[in-house]
Amino acid sequence: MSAPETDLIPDERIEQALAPERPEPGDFAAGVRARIAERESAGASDCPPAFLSAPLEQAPSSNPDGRPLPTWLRRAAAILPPGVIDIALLGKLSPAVGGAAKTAPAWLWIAAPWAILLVAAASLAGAMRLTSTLSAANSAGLLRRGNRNLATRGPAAIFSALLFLAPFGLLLFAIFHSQWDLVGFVFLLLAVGVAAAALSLSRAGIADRTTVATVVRAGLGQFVGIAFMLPMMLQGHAGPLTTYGLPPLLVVSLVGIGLMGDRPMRRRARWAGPFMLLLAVAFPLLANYAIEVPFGRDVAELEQWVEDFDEPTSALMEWAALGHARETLGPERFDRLDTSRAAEAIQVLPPKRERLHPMTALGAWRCGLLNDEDLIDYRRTELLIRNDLRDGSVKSYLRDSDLLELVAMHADGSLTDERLAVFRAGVEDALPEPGTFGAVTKARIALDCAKVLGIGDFGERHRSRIHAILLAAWCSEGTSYAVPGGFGNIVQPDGADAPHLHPTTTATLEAVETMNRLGAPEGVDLSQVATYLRQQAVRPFIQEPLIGDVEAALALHLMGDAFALPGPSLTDRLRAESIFFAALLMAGLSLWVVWRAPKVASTEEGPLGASGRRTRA
Amino acid sequence: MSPRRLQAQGPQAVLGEPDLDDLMERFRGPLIGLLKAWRAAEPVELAQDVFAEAWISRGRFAGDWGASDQVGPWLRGIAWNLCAAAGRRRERGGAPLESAPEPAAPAEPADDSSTHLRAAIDRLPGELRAAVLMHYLERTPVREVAALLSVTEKTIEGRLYRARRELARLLEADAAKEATR
Repeated sequence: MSAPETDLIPDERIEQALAPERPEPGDFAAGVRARIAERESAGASDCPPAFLSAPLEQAPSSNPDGRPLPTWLRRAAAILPPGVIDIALLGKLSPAVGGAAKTAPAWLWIAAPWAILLVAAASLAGAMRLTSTLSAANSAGLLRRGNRNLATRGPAAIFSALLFLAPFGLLLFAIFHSQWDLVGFVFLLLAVGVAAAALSLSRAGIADRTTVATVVRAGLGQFVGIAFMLPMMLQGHAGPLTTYGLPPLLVVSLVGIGLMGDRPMRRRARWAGPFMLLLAVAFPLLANYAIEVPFGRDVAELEQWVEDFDEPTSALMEWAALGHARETLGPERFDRLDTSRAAEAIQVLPPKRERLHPMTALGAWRCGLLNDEDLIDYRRTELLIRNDLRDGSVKSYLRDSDLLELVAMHADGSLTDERLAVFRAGVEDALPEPGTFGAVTKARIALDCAKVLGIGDFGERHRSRIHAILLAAWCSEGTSYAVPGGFGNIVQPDGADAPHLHPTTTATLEAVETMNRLGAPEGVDLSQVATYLRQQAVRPFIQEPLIGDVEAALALHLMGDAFALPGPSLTDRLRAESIFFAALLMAGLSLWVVWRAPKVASTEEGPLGASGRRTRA
Repeated sequence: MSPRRLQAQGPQAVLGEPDLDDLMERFRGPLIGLLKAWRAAEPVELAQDVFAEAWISRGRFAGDWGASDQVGPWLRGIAWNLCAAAGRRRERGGAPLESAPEPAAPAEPADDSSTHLRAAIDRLPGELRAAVLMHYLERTPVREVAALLSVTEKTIEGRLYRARRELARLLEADAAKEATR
């Protein structure tokens, strides 16, 4: 044993102690070259740890000017995190799709920008975190000023532009081609690609686990933004947000777990967890309009809607739906309900009854809130009577006002036999041609008018014609906002565009009522009609249903009574729960990537840990 | 790259021209030392794997071959993954996890003092042990050691100073324990 040391161990002593472990440079270099030769001969096929391996023939020989070859990995390093890109995209997209959201309430437009700002803030925080981590680690120098151009120039810039444009193009594709499922699938593929890039970066030593967690969190935040914000802006029901049985908050929880689950695995960014939790909670609250739950599956919900009805008479669609509710729920059930609030609303009018719109009046009459005397008074004061009806003939199609007129004339005795004969003959010719504007509504009115005029066999005699009308109005293909199965009236747009079918819940409800009387035409798939209605019969999570939701629920209820509909198919359920599966996938992917990434770089202890055992990531 | 930097890195350091011999010359010692500090089972063989892997995938390195602070982290990333992969293979194969004896034959017979000093090095805290092994194995310049660890040269110099002081304290404590027997 040597003498005790007093101050510092001399350098030479340490070198001498390590000398036996020093390799001979020539032997070492020979060993390296032997390994290279072996790898080249084996085609690098049996080298599992080669995270960046490439056959030698792919090495710089193809790049004679000495410039490093561009790789997807380093391009990804130059453009991550992607959340920033797509948030910018959302910001650009919102005015473009704003026209589709004219019915959105004012508070929505106040909330939406804040929600977008939240996502943008999260993404920017992720970007800053990434930059600072890379800078601190001095990893590969990709973000250093001198090399930034190196990482982003040439093909990398094209790649970046494509990645920027891809989601934008996908969304436009989805809006105009109604391929939401396909686009959603591609979005998920992009998410998997981002996760793979983040994992590869980490395994290459360019990013540590904290950075990876930041990136995947930004990606998850992006998913939340897209999944919740876009359908909200579009105001459509074809988005993937309808659930059958799983509570929407389960999806929120999944996202929260994905955002927070990596926290115990990391050592840094203590502020990020609570911030992301706040984000996970704030988003659904702000975007609650986009979280929808089934409405009207229980008939009690529809009855409650009737009893709570207190819409102003200017709400034409709501009053029309109330009129349909008596037929769809059945007179016995409907008449037991307390409709005093609706009656009070309609009673406000008598001094100004001339302002009552025929749609409101017809709805009120259909559900018994206006009687025949009211209609006589209404006709006398200011019903909008068509000249041809006043003249005692029916020249073209019939409207709501015509039906009210006929009812009023029948009630006050002015419907003489002579006029009755003329009207009966006119109604026989009033059915529209299949595929013409408003054919479903006109056929429905014609049936009602025929009933008032006492033509009992009208429906039977014109069954094939009416069936042809329904078949022409049935949308066997989906649109950007609806799955196939709905009925629509022909839309005649301004300009040179050709008329096209525009499926609506209103037309579908009228078609279902017509089919309830005359049966379903050959060629109309009732299960598809039900699927369409199920997707439409939803309501915002913490709001009252919109009128379209009510119409769909009424039609679905009538279909269940009339055609003994089977329950939703497996496809229906999978489609409805797609948001859940997407959230499950995204959260699982995020946790998996963080789990697999090497932990915060510990250059002293190494991947095997202080004990020499491999550190589990 | 500035002339001063080129001069500091020697004549082999040329931008965009990878040189395997130069790479090994600059990083062989600190890389083996780093793998020893990580307690890899066969650090010399693993270091050879790292250089081979780095050379085969050299086309994917986008930085400056002459800049140690860019090459170093890249090599460390490769070493990290190969070391982790080797650890996984050993776990699956049930092989012993502790470091195997060094195969290299000693250049000269190690005396008792060197043996005690070597044992004391292994008892150093991780960052000090890494600095000592990486620097003194081949007396590699501090710049390459710092580059491989992504820290500053001053940091390495500080660690080496603390390591030498800690080694002296450990050896003194060992001597005192020996004397009381």
